[in-house]
Amino acid sequence: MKNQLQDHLRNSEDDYLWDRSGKPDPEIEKLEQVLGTLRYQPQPLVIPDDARISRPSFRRFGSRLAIAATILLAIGAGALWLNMRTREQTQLTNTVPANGSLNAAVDVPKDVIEEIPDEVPTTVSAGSPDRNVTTSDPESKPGIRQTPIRRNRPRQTGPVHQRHVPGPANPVLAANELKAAEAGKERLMLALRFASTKLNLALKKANSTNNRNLIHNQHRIG
Amino acid sequence: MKSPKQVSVSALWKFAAAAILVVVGAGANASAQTAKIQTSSLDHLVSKASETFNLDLDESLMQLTAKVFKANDPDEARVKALVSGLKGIHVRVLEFEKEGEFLAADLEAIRTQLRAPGWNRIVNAKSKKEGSVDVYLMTSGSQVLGLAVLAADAKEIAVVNILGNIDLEKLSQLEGQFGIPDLSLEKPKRKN
Repeated sequence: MKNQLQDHLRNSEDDYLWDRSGKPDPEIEKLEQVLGTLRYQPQPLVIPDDARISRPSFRRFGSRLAIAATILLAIGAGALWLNMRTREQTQLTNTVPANGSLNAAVDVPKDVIEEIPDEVPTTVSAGSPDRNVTTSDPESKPGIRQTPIRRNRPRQTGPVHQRHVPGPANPVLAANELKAAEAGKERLMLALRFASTKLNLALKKANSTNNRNLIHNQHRIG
Repeated sequence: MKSPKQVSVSALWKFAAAAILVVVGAGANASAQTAKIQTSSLDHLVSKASETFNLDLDESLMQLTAKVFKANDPDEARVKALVSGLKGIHVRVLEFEKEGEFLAADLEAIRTQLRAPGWNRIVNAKSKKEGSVDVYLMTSGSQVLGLAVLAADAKEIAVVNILGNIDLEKLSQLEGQFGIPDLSLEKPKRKN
């Protein structure tokens, strides 16, 4: 009897607990009422009209900005390299005389011009004095004067003959550098001489024109 | 309303376009501020010229040359000081045997360059007999960037282009000093 009653009670309680087919348990019903308020209730999502979409943060698009900045830097570097290369080519073209040699066409002593050697050292001090290496360029074509500084020249990887230069205040030049410098000095003085002469000619002409106008105006006044 | 992705892409394009404009503008400004005058427009006259004279000194050669000026010699020290601010000197002279071998239009390409922003004509002397001499100065603020002298008479064209900060007074004083003879290129006047 006791066993039957226990079985009945268990079955009826379990049935209600599992599929609500048995006898309702008041405690379970009470729990159902309390927890039933939290039951899922399907309804459409409502977005309020005053809702705003936040602006994209810098951090979110930082990678794209970094890519864009890299591309721009590459473009800038390319433009700079192209500009430097164009300048080098322009210098190379400009240092080659039209007829391959210097001809004195003005009232300048020709012996001064003839003393100027066509050869200019292919490498002169362009960076740190300790790394200056003076070499002859086997690729240089005869009759074409190379630019004194060749920036794109690859560095020597083998044993390099380093020449110590004490400092810019008291530079010590190699023999060929000294020769080129002396020749450059002659050319420099020649250029300055010519420029000074032309400048003074212009000033004299301008002054004489002003004086002529002044005299002319004085005659008019008188 | 644009999506965040559209906003970011358009902002990126604007940023890229502005950056490219800045880079291109800087390059154009740098090239515009170069005081170097191209004289290649005179190349076709070389065959007609009886004598030509070209002299080109770039900055590296001038720096090398500056090392051989003697510091204890006051004259050479003054020349060295004058040259220290220079970045190049270019001289081109064409001399002709006969008059009328070249036209004024042959110099127009050079004059056009000298009419560019930055250049100022400070001297303009012209006469029928002796031709014309123009002196131009390129300045940026108070800094002198270059000098150009364009002289032309019936039988000669001379272009002097000095790049860098040049002191005109010191340069004009060079003639007849420091062992530099007074060449007196001004032709003697004919006596009646």
